[in-house]
Amino acid sequence: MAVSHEFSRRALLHGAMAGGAAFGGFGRLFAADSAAQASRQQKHVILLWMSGGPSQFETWDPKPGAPTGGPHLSIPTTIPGIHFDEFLPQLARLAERMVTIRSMTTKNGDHSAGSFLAQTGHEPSRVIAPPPHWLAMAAHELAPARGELPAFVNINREQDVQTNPGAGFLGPKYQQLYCPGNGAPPEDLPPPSVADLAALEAREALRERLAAGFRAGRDPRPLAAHDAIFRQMGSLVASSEIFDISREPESDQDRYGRTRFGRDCLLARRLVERGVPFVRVQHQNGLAWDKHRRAFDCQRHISAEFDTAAGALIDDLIARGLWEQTLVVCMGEFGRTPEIQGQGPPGRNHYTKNWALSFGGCGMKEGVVIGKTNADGTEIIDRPVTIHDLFCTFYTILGIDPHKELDFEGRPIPLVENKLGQPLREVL
Amino acid sequence: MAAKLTQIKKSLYVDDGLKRGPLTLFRLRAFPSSPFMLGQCTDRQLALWNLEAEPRQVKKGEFVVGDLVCPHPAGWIRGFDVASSSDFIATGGSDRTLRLWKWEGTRPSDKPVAQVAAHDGWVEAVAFSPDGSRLATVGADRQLKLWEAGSLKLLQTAPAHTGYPRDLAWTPDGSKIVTGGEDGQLIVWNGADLQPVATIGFGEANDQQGQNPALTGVYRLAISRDGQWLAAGGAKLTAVFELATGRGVGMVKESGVDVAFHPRFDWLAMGENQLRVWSYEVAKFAPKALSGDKDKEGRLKPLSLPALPGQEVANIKRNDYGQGIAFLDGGRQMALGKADGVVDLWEATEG
Repeated sequence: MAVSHEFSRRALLHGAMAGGAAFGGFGRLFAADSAAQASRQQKHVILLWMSGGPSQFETWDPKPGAPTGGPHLSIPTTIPGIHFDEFLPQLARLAERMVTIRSMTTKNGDHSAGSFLAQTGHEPSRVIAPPPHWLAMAAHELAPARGELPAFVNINREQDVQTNPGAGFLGPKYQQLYCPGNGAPPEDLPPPSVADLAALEAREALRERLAAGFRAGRDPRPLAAHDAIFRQMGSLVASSEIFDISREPESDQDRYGRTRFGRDCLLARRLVERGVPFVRVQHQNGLAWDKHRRAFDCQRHISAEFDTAAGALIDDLIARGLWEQTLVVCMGEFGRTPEIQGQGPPGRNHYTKNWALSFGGCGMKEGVVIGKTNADGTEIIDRPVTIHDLFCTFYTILGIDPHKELDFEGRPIPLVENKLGQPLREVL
Repeated sequence: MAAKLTQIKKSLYVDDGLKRGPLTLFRLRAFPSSPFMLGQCTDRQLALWNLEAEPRQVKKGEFVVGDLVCPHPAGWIRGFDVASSSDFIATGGSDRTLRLWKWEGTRPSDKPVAQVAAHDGWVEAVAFSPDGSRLATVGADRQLKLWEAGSLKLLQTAPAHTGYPRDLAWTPDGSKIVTGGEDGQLIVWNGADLQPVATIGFGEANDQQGQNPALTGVYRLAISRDGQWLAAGGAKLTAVFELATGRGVGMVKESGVDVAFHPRFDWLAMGENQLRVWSYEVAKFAPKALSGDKDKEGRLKPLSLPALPGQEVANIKRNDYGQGIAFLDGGRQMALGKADGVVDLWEATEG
């Protein structure tokens, strides 16, 4: 009995290490060579989500000296004549590798609805089928090179289902795998010990037996999606080291900043390097960029924290040969008012008329600045960009037809709402 | 001592008509020997009021309306002071500059008489020495600097706080400077050579995470007229320390941020939305050593001090996160800044 048990464990371990049968063969999945190759062959997105609505004045469209400018000054970027907020020195240095849009315009100034729109391309109330997060859609359209890995990982706490939409009508197979933040792995993920793998396999076998009776006469599609998740769980247990940022050099952890967001960006890089295609990182918990009160003082901290980690992440993607395959997006759901309101020692309220964001990588043109606002930042005076234009651009960069329709219960659902928008030709 | 504060039916107001939000007030300073007051607000200029001017009707109501003076080219003024002689005003801004303005009887000079790039970061606080010969500044570069007041020649520099410094004050005899910062530390310095004399752990520091983080560490500080007592305001409390020893005297909870000592009475004004004036009783002070204990993240544990001995003189609701406290006319009046650009005036009387 003991010998048999030992044999079984050895066999399981062998399977784990040599690409055997257990859970789809997870053995050398994460060896550096195969991981790097897989990563270089597939497209990735890292969405750095600035929840709450970052101020365009204190990020990518500063107006120092204007009455609406606030106390922050600006610094020159690597693009002649273009300045960013003084607390974004790394992003200013990397501006020549990025695309900056200063003329985003939307209409929904509610956090939940605005976040939903800015992450799905659909207004929350306009479709019967709940639209998925655009990274879930990307995962649906672009099968990961390594199917045993999660296609979409979310890092850090979401506010609610609207500020961080899930897989929507695509179903559980495309739901994001949740990491709690601060560089931590998915909760309750055990280390890849032989005993844990054996226990998992036993539980999986039992689940399969019990599910067999349940399947009879039922639609196999949702059940298959659930089965896929369970199989993926096995791979995750075997590969929990991909979530282990303590394996990264101390110097890297310093470069990203010894902050929650720094650790999360480092984790995002580690995941992408090892083949996870789509990662959403939420900066801080809740609506951290929603600075109605005491905005300008604490903005120094949040901007610096964001800049340090995002800058290190972009540097690493470039240095490691992943930049041409990885789209990095820095954005929130809207911008903030030119007026500096007195809702507490001062801050800015929500503003959708014009706002700013930045993205880069994935083979698009670099150092492009799109749009312009007037001297006080109250109006767009050149090249308004809609959220639908933005999604058309993202999908196009990923090689996905943005106006493609998916079928949901017999209804055609376009990737971008009502087939609106056009890709930004300036970056393609 | 029975005493009271009564609101004066005359308020001050500043607005530049640019419809970019109210000029929220942060600091107020009265001229020692003339009926003028300056206010630091959400602007690159200071507000100036003639307290003897008649109110006039503006859209918001009837007010003594202020002018905007001492312009920096960009950013906001973050700290300023009026020399005891009333001859000069010094302003420091987020544009990194320290500027010196000459008072010309009814308003400052249109252009600075001297200016320097003072800090590698926002100039956070500015204070003339009591004799007016020197200026001290703290900046976002975490430095404390000492300047010759007339020329803005740099005399000394000292590394000060590990977080952004937020305020500073001289002792009345000019021998010491105290700085306070977001790191929750109060540092006592020798005013002549900027050697640190003592560090007092106020605490209350946080990492500024989330949507509405509370103010971190020390926001404002003040020194009593006799130089014995140091008051520091943080997000949620005001604490009083014995300046010579750094020992804790007492604290007032739920009343922090803004602090000011009365120039003649043993009164301490403190608070933001709810301004409290506390008549403190020095005879009952029993200073005790601070524990200095830290939590697992290395931050000072919350202060454990008794309630500040004394009693409340007034509890004034100024609402909407107003800041700025100044005592005028030898302490006979108190001015309170508000977030909507209004300054209310109160008359202080002994019973």
